[in-house]
Amino acid sequence: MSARTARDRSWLRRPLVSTASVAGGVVLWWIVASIVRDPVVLPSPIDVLGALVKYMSGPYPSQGVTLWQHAAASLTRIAVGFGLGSIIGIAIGSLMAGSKAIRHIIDPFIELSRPLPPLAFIPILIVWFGIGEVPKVLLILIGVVPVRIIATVTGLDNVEPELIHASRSLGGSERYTMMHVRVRAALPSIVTGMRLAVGMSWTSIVAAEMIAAQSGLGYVILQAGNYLDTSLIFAAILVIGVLGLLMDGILRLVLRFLDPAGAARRV
Amino acid sequence: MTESIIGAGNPGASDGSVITRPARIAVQNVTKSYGSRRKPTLVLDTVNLEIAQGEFLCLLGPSGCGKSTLLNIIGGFLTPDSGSVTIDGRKVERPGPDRCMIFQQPALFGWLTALDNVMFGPRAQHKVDASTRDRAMSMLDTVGLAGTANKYPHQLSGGMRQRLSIARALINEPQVLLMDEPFGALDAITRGQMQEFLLNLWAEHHMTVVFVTHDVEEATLLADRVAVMAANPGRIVHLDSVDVPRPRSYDLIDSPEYSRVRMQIRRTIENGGHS
Repeated sequence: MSARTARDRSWLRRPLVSTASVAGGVVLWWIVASIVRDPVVLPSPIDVLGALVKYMSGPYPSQGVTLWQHAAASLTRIAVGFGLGSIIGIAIGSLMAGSKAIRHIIDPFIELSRPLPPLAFIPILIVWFGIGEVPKVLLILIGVVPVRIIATVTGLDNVEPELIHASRSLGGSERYTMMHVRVRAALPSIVTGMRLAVGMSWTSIVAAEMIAAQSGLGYVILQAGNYLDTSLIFAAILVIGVLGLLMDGILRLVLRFLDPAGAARRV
Repeated sequence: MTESIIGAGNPGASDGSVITRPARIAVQNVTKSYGSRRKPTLVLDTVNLEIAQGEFLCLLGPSGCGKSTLLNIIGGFLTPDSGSVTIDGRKVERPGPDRCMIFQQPALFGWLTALDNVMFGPRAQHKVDASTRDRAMSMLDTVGLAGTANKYPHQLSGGMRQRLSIARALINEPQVLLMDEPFGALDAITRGQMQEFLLNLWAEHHMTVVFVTHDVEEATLLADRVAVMAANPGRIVHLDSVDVPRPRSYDLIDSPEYSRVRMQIRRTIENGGHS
């Protein structure tokens, strides 16, 4: 009985503390905003909520498109870039984990690309591909692919050799063992790589939309800045935050399903 | 290599094997080195060993004597530089379900339930039929895990995990069970329980077992014969029969017969194999 109460309490504790902390942050923001008393510099939470509700239903004047339609534009770009980047990254990562030669050929490029900020590529992408959808998706790929490759290679490398031996010893062919044990055991770390890549793709896409776009949340933020509509800037940032959290939450659910023991625990 | 007492026979073989077809293992002139071609380290030097059908043999020796290497060669995970291993006359070339390996770490598939772990072997060999599930359940029952079919490995204790890995091996009806210090990671009490569990399992099913350990007590408790190995280069220096009648149990560990056998083996190890 006491063990159960303890568990209930620990279950409650984290969400409770976290909710309180978020609420505290909002209150602090409110207090600072009411001291500043200038919605152009710092709108209050109510101003931001007002902007959110207003542009959720009504179109943003300059383009005749609602905030949600801009959000959908950004999401579509991310879905395409992130999906394509994941497929490319997992494929290249698997090849690298499978063959030493391929690994040595590709590895220097990944090491080289790692410290490069994707945003540095925006001008050259515009020169090459103009301001359509292609450079935006490419920009996401530049950010996402190396992360996905590294996560895939590490995941496949870190599968305990005992698991592979066990499978072989239980009658699994090399092919069966690759698919049902090595790839399966690496899935949690591949999904963890996805979580990192989601953040990466939001960074890239918003930046790209600020420089060359007619739609998307980055575009909204830039426009709102030009018109000093600070509430809308905050509202758009809030939307990005919530969408990012949602995507991460989905991936965390997937991770829990894939890895019942929890990523850190090895059996 | 000396053979002090030849052939303990095969006590208890007549009780009829239930799930396994025990096999005879012959290790002939097996040599293995590691390291670079210029400076190879000889890990196994011309090892010869015959293991009878249904025999329980322990490979006993200090770390670095090549006992795990020898087991891995029998298992087909390593290829010897020269010499060969045959099981019932067939040459070992790759790992296979007929000689299942149990490791120190249970190496369970953490994303599968206990039942699905046991069903892995039949599934991997595409040999699943209507009876497979029932057989898997009865394997779990055999190792005392009947109530945990839907639990995941991380929800089981250390001893339960190791028993699960044994059930997972047994469903393949292996002729040979290869065990590499399987109880080495368990606490002393659980280890004792697992040793008794293994003795009962072997008494019932009578598969051929090759068991690697560095624990003299464990070797004498379990084995028909103990092959004492020494390092630099790894080789078998002595073969001892453990003439203690079966059934054995952990309670007998302090009996004079056991003490005598243990003393003898310890002396052999200390003398570097010259008894």
